[in-house]
Amino acid sequence: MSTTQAELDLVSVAEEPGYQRPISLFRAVMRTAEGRIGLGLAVFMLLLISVGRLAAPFSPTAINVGPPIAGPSMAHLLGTDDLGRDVLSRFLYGGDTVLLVPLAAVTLALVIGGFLGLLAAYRGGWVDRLVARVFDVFLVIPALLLALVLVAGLGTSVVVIVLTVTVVYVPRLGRIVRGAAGRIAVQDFIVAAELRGESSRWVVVREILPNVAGPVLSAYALYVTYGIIFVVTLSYLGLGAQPPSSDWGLMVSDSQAFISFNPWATVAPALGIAAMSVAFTLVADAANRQLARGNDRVGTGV
Amino acid sequence: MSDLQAPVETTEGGARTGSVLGVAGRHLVSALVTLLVISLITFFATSLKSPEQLAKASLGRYITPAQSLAFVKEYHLNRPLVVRYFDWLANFVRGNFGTSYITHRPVRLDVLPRLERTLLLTLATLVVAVPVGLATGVLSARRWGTRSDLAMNIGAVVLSAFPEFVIGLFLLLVFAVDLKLLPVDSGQGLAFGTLSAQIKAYVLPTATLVVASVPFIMRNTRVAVREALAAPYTRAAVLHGIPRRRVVWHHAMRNAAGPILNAVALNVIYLLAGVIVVENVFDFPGLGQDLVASVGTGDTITVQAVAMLLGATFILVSLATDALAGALNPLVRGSRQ
Amino acid sequence: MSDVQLSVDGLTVAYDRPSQQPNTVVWRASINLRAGQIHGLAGESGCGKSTFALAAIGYRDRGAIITEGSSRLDDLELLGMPARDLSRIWGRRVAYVGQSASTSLNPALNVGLQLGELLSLYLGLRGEKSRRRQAELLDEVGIPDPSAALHRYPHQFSGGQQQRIAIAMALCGDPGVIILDEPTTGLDVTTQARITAMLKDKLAGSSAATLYVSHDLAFLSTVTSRLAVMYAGEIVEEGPTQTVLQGPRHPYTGALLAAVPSAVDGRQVVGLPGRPPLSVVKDACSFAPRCPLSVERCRSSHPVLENANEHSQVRCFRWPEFRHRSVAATPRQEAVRTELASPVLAVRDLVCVYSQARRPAISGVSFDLAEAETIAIVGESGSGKSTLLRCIAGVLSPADGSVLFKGESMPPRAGDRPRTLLSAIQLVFQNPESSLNPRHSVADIIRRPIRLFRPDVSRSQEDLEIRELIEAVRLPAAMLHRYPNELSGGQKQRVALARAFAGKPDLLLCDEVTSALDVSVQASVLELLTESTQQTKTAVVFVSHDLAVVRTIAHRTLVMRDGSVVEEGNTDQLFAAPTAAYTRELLSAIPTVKPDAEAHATPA
Repeated sequence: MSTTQAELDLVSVAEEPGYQRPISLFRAVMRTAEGRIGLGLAVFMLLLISVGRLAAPFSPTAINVGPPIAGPSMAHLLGTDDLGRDVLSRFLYGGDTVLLVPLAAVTLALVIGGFLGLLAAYRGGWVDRLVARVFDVFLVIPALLLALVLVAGLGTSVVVIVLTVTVVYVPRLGRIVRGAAGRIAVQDFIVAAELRGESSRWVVVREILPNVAGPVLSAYALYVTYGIIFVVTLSYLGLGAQPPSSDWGLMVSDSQAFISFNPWATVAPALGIAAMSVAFTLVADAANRQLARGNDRVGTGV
Repeated sequence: MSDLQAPVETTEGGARTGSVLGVAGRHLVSALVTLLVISLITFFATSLKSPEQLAKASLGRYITPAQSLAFVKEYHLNRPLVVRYFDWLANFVRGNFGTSYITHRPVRLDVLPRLERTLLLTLATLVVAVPVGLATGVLSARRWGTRSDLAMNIGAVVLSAFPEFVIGLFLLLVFAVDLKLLPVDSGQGLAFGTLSAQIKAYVLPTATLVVASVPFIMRNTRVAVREALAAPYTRAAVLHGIPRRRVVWHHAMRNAAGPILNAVALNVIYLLAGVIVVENVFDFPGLGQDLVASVGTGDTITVQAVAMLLGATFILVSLATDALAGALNPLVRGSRQ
Repeated sequence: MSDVQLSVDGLTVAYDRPSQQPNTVVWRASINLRAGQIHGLAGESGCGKSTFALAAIGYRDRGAIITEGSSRLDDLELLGMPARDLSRIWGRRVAYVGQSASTSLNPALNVGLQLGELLSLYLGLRGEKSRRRQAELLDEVGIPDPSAALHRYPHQFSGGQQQRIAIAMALCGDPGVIILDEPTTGLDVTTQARITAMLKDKLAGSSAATLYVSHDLAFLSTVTSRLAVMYAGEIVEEGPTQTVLQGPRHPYTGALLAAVPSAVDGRQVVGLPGRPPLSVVKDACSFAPRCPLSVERCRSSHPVLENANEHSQVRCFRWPEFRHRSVAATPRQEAVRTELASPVLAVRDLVCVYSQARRPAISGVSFDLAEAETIAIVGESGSGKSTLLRCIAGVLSPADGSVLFKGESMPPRAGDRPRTLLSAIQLVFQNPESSLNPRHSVADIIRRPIRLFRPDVSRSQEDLEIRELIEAVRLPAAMLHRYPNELSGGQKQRVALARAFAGKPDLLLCDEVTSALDVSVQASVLELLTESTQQTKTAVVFVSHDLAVVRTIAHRTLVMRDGSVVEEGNTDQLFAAPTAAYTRELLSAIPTVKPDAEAHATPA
């Protein structure tokens, strides 16, 4: 050979013009306008629901601080509701359950569903088939129907809501994790790991998990969005938060009766819900789009 | 074996003509299993209240133990749960939905007209949403990657982020409150109004559900059409000299139809939840409104009946769409997303 | 003198890139297709031959632009023709058969409908007449029970049958120009031979002008009368096929020929270092970095296509000085097989069954393997060769029989084997894309076996060994920090080998390790494999479907069919004088580059 093999092989794929080094999913999302808007909005909403209450002029439960069902005024920027409560203050206090309850439930669902999905994908065989079957059965059950039935039987409480959401999303998230992990588990490098005598723990944590982190996190974001919509709908229907909470969903339904007189009592929380949901949806969608582009640009890790 | 001697394979599940029935049978079985599971969950979840609680809910808070006992006997609440389950299931299948604790009327009387209205609402939604979703999806797919496609797609994404009741309220605010074109309260119109009032009562709920459904159908259509258009067999068809229009509709769309129908079937299931919410937003006297109200009043018998009816309706519609998908594309027959 | 049906002149294709210069992938390539002739186009993956073939008939993928050149079909200029006119030409006057029929046939329509549509379009046939012709066409391409086949869907046919159907569809309009783009790639050797024979048969009688695109020089030598060689988007040599293959004028053609293994003489293959450029090189010779003859001029100016004589052309400044020397067959180092030394591996009556399968995947397989010996397991798909390897490796448990390693029996499942045993037996996989964890760096990948199998080794000693290993597989140390998706297929396989050698194995199991690689890359990896295993005295079980590769590197060969051993013995003897009919059938199906050698015969 005229030139050394080593020198020539140095020209790896990376040096070719037009090649782009794989980047993390987060960075890829940040590069898109959609991702930036979504993340920005999400951060803003997070601030609003956490520290926004510090700006509230009144207590959210204080009644008759103003004339009932009054329109916006200097004292009450968003007017008052039928019990004379300040709408702005109620709004600033009402956002946390909109995010926190679904967040808790979806996280729990991811942990349980993810564990089952990983187990099924890794073990294969009858375990996989059994888990898939169980998932399939629960997947078809419409979420809201299940929620209504459970509330009918168990009453309304945060625990019941979280339980319902978790039960509904475990099979959905589990299915996604099982799918992603399943695609990895059949790869030869997993067989190579097993042939080294690696422990199951190693294979799952060090070989499989880094490769599914991207798709799983992106699905997580998506389901947080679904969760937000679901939980706030339950509150709207009167099955979630209970008065005198100013949970946004409950606020909307409480104030719908006098929408013609002070629409802000309905519009403000509705907009808040929409903004929260849109924020997470945009982030999840941007992430999914980047992942769908293929692994040549975006590493599957975070 | 050389390929000349290799036998021509058959699909899983037997000879080709039999496979359509075979797979339809599988879908039917799986639908029945799902209904069964719904019935189980519904019945056992709603039976968590003790007979005493139910008696109180029915007859009032201050009842004597004797009254309570009579109540329990009347509704057979003292029998074992499993027996009651089968009794209930048997009755349900025969159309006997029991007598409500709260209204003291046979559930059937109240529920059937509501079923009719909910069905009409659902059908109206599908009739509008599916063509709109398909058309926008196809349009978007043909312009894949262009600005208009991206705009439509992001639009669909944002729209899908809105909960149905938010959409409904917005429409209510604009059309009923501000413009005063349509009634704020559907219930009155449907119960007492003229035909035109009745139709007007359907408009806003339908519109809300359509706005909620179109993004989902559109996005799935877009992806399915795109994949079909970008598939190797599409290129091969073009290279065979088949005119472009025919390639798109006869070859590509045929393959896209399966996934699209699957998406529509899924959407039907989503509509089930949507209908419940939207009926409540507009106080529309359908099954959804009844369900929520019954949960609120503790009318477990109505809850059981309505849950089953809703579940059965939507699962059957979804089954029909799946079957249609299978008829169009043999490869899709065995699978179900 | 046959007339030119399709004349492609100076065709240039580029891909648009957002906010960058377009990426040229085919540059000023020309070819003349003559009636009644099959013209070959050879090249490795990425050289642009498929893009060229499609552009030549006026088709371009999305994002591709044809920036210059012309392609004339008789008197019609195809480039720039409106789509409507092109679609009247495609299928009728010009046909295209692509590589993978399983995806080019519409899965939602049955075969009869797809054929019938074309017959109606081209010939106006409908109804009963059409059905008759459909059945005839299927029969002509060798589909059994044609009338029943018409009602079947593509996925109900085997790969070879699907390709036959695709060919039938392409030829049913009796086109004057036919483009065959790797039509038999991916199919079994015997299937390939049959389909190629069928094609030759059909084309022999017709006056169609054919372009046969392939990476397989051996196939091209049996089928084509003229051959063009493509490299980095340019035609670098062209001439009568036998001239090009036996007396190549361009160093790249020479290098390709030196890298092609031969089942006839099993001569050593010579690898070609480096990688081809990803796009056209306009200001120098694209082959210069890898060329043994390259001088300053080659790196600073771009060679044009010159006439070497009235029949051949070559694109090289130094072509008159290039002499292709075919490497003579060197006798392989025979492994010392004494009666005393116990074989490293002894397989006895091995039976392996997949759960839910009706018959065993392998049954009654027995063989011995001595130290530093390489045995090849050869067979077509379904022969059980990979299953056998996985059984030995411990991925699958045998149902019966035994596998003795160094005289001792082993736990059948890898999970039950001690670390020392796992380290001594290493498996290298076929697909470089899936055998390395994309989230681990090359250094991580090579380090892990060392860490796991010899935990007492110090960190600095580890680092030293890693460097040694990466250099032993002829990759620069800078690679250690890279991740698999920054590596090419050949480089990934080298890393996989380095990982295997990190365990200091006594036995190396290779599962079609070069099947997914280009021929020149394959040659490099084979060179590496032979060298390393000879140095370390590692025994090798090499599974392959490629008899030529097997002849090149294996001391002994085992032929398998449907799970059983058909024949076994010393490689040279087995190839020269096979005793089993199946072996003879396999051997006769392989085309060779030198058609005058005895091994070449028309397939049975």
